[in-house]
Amino acid sequence: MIDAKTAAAPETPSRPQARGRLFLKYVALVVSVVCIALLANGLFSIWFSYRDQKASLVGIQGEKAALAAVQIGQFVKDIEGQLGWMTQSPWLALTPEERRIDALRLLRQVPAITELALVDETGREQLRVSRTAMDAIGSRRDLSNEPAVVEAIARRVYYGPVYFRRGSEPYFTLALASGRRNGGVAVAEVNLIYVWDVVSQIKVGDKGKAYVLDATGRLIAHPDISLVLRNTDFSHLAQVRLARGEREDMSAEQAKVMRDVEGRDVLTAHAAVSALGWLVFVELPINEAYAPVYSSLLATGLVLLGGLALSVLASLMLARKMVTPIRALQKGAARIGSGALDHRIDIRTSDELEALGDQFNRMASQLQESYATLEHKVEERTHQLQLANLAKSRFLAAASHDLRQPLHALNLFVTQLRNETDQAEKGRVIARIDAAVAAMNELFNALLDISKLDAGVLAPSISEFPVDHMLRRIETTFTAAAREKRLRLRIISSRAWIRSDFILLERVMLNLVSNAVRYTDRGGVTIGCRRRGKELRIEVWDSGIGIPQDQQRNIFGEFYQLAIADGDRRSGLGLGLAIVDRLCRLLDHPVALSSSPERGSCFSVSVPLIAAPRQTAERPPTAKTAADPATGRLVVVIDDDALVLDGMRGLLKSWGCDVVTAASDDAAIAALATYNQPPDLIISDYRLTSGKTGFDAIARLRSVLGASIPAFLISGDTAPERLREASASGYHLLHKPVLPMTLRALIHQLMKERADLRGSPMALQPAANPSPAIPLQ
Amino acid sequence: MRRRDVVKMLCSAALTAPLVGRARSADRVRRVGMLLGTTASGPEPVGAFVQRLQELGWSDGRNIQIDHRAIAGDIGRFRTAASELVHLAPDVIFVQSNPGLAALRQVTNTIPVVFVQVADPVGSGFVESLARPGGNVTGFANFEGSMGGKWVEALKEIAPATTRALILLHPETVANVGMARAAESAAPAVGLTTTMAGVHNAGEIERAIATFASEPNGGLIAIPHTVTVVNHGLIAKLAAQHRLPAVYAFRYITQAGGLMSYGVDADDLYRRAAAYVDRILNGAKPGDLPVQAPIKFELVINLKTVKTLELTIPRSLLARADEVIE
Repeated sequence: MIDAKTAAAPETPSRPQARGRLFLKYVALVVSVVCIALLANGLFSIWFSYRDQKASLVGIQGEKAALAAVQIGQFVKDIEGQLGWMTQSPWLALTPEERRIDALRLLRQVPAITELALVDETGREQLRVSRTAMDAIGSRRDLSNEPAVVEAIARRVYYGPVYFRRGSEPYFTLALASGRRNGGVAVAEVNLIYVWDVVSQIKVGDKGKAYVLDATGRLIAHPDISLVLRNTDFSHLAQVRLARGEREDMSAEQAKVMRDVEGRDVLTAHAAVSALGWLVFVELPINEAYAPVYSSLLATGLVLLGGLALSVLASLMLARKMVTPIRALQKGAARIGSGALDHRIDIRTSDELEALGDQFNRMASQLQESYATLEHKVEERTHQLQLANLAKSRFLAAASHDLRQPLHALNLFVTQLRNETDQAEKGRVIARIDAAVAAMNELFNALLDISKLDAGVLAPSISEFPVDHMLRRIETTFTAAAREKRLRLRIISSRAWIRSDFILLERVMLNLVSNAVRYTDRGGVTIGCRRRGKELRIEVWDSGIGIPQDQQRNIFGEFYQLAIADGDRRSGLGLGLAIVDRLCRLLDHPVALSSSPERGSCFSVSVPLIAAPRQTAERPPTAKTAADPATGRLVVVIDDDALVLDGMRGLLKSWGCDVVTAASDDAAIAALATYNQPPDLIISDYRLTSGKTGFDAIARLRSVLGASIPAFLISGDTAPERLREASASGYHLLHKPVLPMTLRALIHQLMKERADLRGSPMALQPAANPSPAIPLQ
Repeated sequence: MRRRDVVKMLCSAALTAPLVGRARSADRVRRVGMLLGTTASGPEPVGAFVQRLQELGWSDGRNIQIDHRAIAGDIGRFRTAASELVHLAPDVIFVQSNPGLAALRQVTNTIPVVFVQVADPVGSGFVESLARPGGNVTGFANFEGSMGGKWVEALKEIAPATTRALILLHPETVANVGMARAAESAAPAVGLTTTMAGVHNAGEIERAIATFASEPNGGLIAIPHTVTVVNHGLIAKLAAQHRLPAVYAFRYITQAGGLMSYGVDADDLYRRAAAYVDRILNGAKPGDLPVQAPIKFELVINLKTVKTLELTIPRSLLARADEVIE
């Protein structure tokens, strides 16, 4: 059946977007985590390294500028130094010729000096030597008002402003006074082209350069000499303006990004050449300056990309590792869920996922077991049902068989009666007819009992009574039967009081004793009581055929009769012990059997024992014969069977009732219209025509004629459902075939109740048959 | 895939574009004209110019073609030589000497010109100013007028006995005249009288010297000019012959036997001229390149000639002599 289910249910396809999403999720998660980490790291490092490198570049530039300024200053200082040699020497004391030779030597030493003039302390020129013009010896030209001379005498050294010879060549005047008193002044015209030598040596990166401006911003020295000779004015440049705005002694300023004279972006720093007022600028093209920064950026970018790629790879692998067992779980669960209970999930990751897989497997095997057990149980039940079915069929067969016998006898007796003229013989035949009917009645009652017991509609009414009362009644019932079979019947009386249902317990005892009598051919039957603790064991001993061990269990089943060697099947349906079994279960009184073949049997029933009360026992309820309350009553009988109606009318009339018969409730109402009083009793068949039930008919009549009219139902239907319905509704229900005595007793009871109580006719009593089972011959 | 191909294409295009550009400029062979007053072989160090050009990446026959026109002292031929050169449509012309530049300026004022050994270019009217030449001409000047005085001074120093000085000049060249005048005005200060002699060729030189040397205590100053440069050997020989102390402007004359020279280092001039030519070939405008004047002068004395003339080198000259040739 499970397989069919598997085949029938189509596998629900997982939605396309759900498949692989876990994998992608994990991949995306890991990639994004790594990316964020890398990005953050990369950005931070880029930012910081950019700042650091820029700062260091700026610092380097500044230092270069400072160094260049120092170098230029040194250049001038060197010239000064040489001049100093001159001025320190007592040149005034020399002959002119000597002076000239000294001066020429100086010129030779210092190529930068184009012209040198020696002025005495009065300001008169004593000597002038020149490279391009004629020397002048002792010209005594008055230079005392020349700023060079004046300043030099005042401050010892004079740095003149930069001027351009022939509009092109940068020169400046350097005058140095002698430290000696009246030592005179040496005035030199210095060709600043020679500064180009210094400047072009200064290495600023690869494409950077250094240049020198005078105080007005005009170019003094530049690696490209033509710029100098062209009198290029740099004063418009932003960095120059900035630099000139500062104090002279500030140097090595922060390098800035500015534009150079050609408009390119450069990183520029400057320093002042002290005392001269010149500015040295150091410029580095931005590209070159920032090349290391850019390359580190690139490197970081590459690392980032590499990290990205790696992370994607790693995350793919990692996600796969994580997702594969989950997928296995999912697939496995799907397969198990769709019915393949023998599928086992195989995960070996030695972690929680593996544990989960094991759990799934355990679940699957448990499911398998359950299914197997279920199947087994279903098989068992089916088997049991089949057996029960079989039993019921057998029962029907047996019942129909056992019914035929008395019917057959009845047939014969009635025919005989029809033809018989002898009154005495008629009476005997009638007695036999009675017996046959009684036998059939007994059968039907037994069936009804079984049905009632199976329906569970019997509610035991527990009371306390002396066991002896019951024993006496049993003795009374079976004395004649025992005498007929020449069996000894002995009842041992007891003074014990027990708690049980009198009627049901009596039925049990009656069946047991009936069996004992039936199955004993010689010897006798003894009934006695034995106290056992809190219980009283009522025992029925017989010296009959006994019951073999292996059949002792089975005999309590329905219709079971012992297979006896000589094939003599005893009369009776074999229901007796079945009824005993059910009744004892209902009353919760354990039944026991001990027997051996040919040695007799002992059936015992254990009942609760109570202490004998002091007051006299209540008389057990017995069927009372009261004054006949049925005489003169108006009875309505409703049945769709005309034959039954006839029979009922006859019977009731014989008891002195007024009878109205009808086939339906409408007919009944119509028929009763002629009477000027409501009926005293309504008797209705359960199943009426046109689907109506007896309940409906009684209700209808009651609603029309009076709500409190007593009523009961007669039905041929012994099905447990009917019994339960009837018991639930509260109506008495008699079963066809109804013994006249039973009918009469119920009518009497109802009439009496009405007379006594004028109360509700809905007495909730089980429709138990108050008369005992008549022992069969 | 397709995107990758496009990117590749773009990258290669970007990389090769500058090469293509450079190839284009390299493919086109530039023409460099050289107008020389002397000869290509000497005495002026023309080779230094060519070598420096090569160092700067311009190789004759590979990416430049140099066309020579040397008039070897024949001034009259400057004009024709200049025209020929101009007709060749060079990218730049390198010219030597004042007359050469003068002739060139008459035939072109668009082709860039780089000059060397031109005296007083501003005074001669070749450029507007040293700082901004304007026009199409720039280059390297050699002497200004005042040098004349120095030569006179030097002559008197080396040969104190000298009382008269012969000044050889090219009278049509303005700069020459300027230098001669400076010499003339400086002479009395050192106790010399000067005699001007305008010369145009070897013959005139000979005659001038011969005429001058007939009287004693004479000295010679050869004002630098193509004529005197080309004929410097002759002048030196004649000076030696007539026992005239002579002062020249170029060391190679001293090396060739002249007594003394005070002048510029010609090598340096020619090398720097090559740098100018390189810049012009790379697109610079001659008008933007300032005319450069020399900052270094060298005094060279030929000891042998000193001894031959029975002179002594005074201390003042020794003090500033840059080289004394044995």
